[in-house]
Amino acid sequence: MAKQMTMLKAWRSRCSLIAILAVLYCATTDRANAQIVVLGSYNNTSSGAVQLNPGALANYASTVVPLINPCTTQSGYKGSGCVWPVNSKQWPDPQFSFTVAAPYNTTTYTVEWQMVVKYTDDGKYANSVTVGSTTLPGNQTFSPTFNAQAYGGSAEVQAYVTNARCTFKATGKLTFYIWGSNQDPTIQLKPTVAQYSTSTFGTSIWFLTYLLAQESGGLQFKTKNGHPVWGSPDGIGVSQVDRKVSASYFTVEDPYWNFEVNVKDGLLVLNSKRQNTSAVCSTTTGDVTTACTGTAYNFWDREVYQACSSTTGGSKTPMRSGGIGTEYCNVNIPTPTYPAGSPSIALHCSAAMTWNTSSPLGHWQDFDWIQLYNGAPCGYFLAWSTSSRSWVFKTGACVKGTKTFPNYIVAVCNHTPAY
Amino acid sequence: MHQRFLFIAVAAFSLLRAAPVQQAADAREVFFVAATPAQFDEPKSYPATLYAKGQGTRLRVVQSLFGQSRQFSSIADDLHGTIYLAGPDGVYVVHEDNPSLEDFVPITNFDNSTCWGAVMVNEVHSALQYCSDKVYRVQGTATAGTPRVAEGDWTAFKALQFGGENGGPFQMTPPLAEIANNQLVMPDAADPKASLAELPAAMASKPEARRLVRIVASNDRYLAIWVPPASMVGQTVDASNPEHAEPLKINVLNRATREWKTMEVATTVTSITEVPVRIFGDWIATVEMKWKPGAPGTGSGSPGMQNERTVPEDSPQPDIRDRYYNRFLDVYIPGRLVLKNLADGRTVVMDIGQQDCEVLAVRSDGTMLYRVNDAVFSTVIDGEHASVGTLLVKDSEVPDIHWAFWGPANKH
Repeated sequence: MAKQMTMLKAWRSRCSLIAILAVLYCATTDRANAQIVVLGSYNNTSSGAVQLNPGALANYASTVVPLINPCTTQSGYKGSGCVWPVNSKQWPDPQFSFTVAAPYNTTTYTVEWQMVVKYTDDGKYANSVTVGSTTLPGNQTFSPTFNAQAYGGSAEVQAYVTNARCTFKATGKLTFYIWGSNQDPTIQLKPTVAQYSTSTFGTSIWFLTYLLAQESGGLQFKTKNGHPVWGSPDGIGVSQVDRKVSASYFTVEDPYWNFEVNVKDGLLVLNSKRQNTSAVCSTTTGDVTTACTGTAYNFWDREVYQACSSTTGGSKTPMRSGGIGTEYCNVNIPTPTYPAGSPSIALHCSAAMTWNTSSPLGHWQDFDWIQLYNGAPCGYFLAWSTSSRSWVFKTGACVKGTKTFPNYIVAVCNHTPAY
Repeated sequence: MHQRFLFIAVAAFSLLRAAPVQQAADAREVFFVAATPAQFDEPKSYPATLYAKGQGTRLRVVQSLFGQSRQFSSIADDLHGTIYLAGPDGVYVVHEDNPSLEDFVPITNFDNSTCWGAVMVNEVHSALQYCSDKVYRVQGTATAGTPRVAEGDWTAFKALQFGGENGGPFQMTPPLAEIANNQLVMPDAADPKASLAELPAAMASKPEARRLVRIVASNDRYLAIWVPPASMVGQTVDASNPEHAEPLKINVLNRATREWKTMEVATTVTSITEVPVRIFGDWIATVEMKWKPGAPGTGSGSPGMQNERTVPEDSPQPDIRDRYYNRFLDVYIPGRLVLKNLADGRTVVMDIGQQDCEVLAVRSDGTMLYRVNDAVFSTVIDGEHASVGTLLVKDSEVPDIHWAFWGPANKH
């Protein structure tokens, strides 16, 4: 028994020695020449597969920039040849494929793949996603998919190659950037807004084309470099969904890279600013209290109620002809008159410069709603002042910090439509 | 007999409050209410906190009253030792003789637009009145067997207590009244319920004209009002091109003599600002302002804007500098505090040279607290002079402080 144990130890010792020699062999042969070349391509439907590393160079920083492209063709960072609904094979995933070059592209080798994409927006928010990571035989293609979500920024694909005998790994990298090209305004943005407007509000909203134009020019990406459109304090994309204020929409990166998601999120934000249907604010009496002034139509009801009770001694009991935003008075009260000499808002908004206590949409109430989408940093556009018994319009610039911003309503009402 | 005793008790109490109590007062701790009233045209609200002097010149939190999410709305000081801070879900009552006492009274449907203010019911009981579907009253102190919140009545506003407009750029809407013949009546509606005072014939106006009046200040001794000119009432207002009234002329009633006097105040009011006047006993205090049109973002050249707090848009704190820029458009504020004594005619002028300054409190012995940006100072009025004060506190929350009071004698 003791002899057997001694033989076993000797065998183990020899095996260990063999293993160490094998490792040393690998280290002095494979590793010394280990130039892992990562080859990559992405699917561009206008020109087929585009090679990211056409020269088959090791650790290559590619100058080819894949564009998240909702269209079948592209011109710079402006999409064209677009269809609706967008084709999921083109959008939002650019359909990447990666392989390792010979001699590692055989079953002799195993490759541990990982693709990470990082993006830091202009507001210094850092994003990082692992698009995919898997282990494959050397002869197979790595085609990462990130749960069909969009991503962009600085991409790094790493390949860790081992062979069956060795425990060490040789590493190859391919780096490149992914930016975006814009959706077609007529063929894609317009129907997208229409679709989500209907699903969010149950109807189309008259000012969305002007609002989106003011927010972003109707663009998801900057035309000069394909980066997501960014606006202070931290608005992202076509609808400028604010990351600080609406953080819940940024648990995924889609609002940065997918215009469709961005539009959807923007309209949800807009909806949240229209009216408060919680218990207090949904009642006629509660609607006009100080609890509900944070949403536009409730605020409007409060203003009409105050105008009613203080101007002409109208009813002291709030009254609505319909839902929130339909407060009315039992006596005639002054209705807003846009101040003469103020910057015109008539170009796109003349129809809304009207008094209506039955249907808030498309009337004065909407100006406060539009203003609130911008955060109303200098207050609502239109409010009732009890201490002067007057409607107060804010038609001037808004000073924030060292900057003076043009009046938001004036800008929206005069902007070239987004689609 | 009972009424006579009550009168004597009230008189004694009033004398006690009014009498110079220099020695005792020096031992009393100073408390500060940092609160920014909700604005009539804004969706935002801000926190409200009660502070005292902490270590060094820092503030110490005594009570956190309203967090930002609870939508603090309005404040009312009964000028007799009780301060009310209200939001949609209730009223915090601050008792100046016991500032650390947490006293929250839940209410619903709070509204400050049609009626709002502290009153002294039957001249002795402090209460707060607000309107919703009717007038409600919150008792200042809990009394066994009596509900804390009950129906109020308009006539109680005869004893309205209003210390005037808070300083800083976030002003609150003052109590409003109107003229019906020779009566000053509330509410400002076609069917007024209470007369606050009889007006001189020169101020009389037909009820149907519904002449609007802003209450400037109201305490036991005086009632100050401002009647806006017709050009500033009932007209569409363009906030970027406001009307203004200057020099400001207010009417002051001496309740004891029942005499009205017109008083010119060295300040201005625009279509979107309120009368920047406060009352402390016999002292009327104002922050001097002058109409001076200027480009947006210039503050009309007012000094000290660079020292005012400015914060990111998502901050819970109010942005002092931006608010001055946007609300006090075309108004030059040199940073000068002017106090006039209604009893003896003295005038005190303090040149601060910083736009964001205000008088916080003046005691009957002449001790005065005033705020300059993020610091509060204490000084003593001597005749018609007040020297540069002693620094009491300097902290980041000080710009939100607009009310101060002396608490009970410090046990330490």
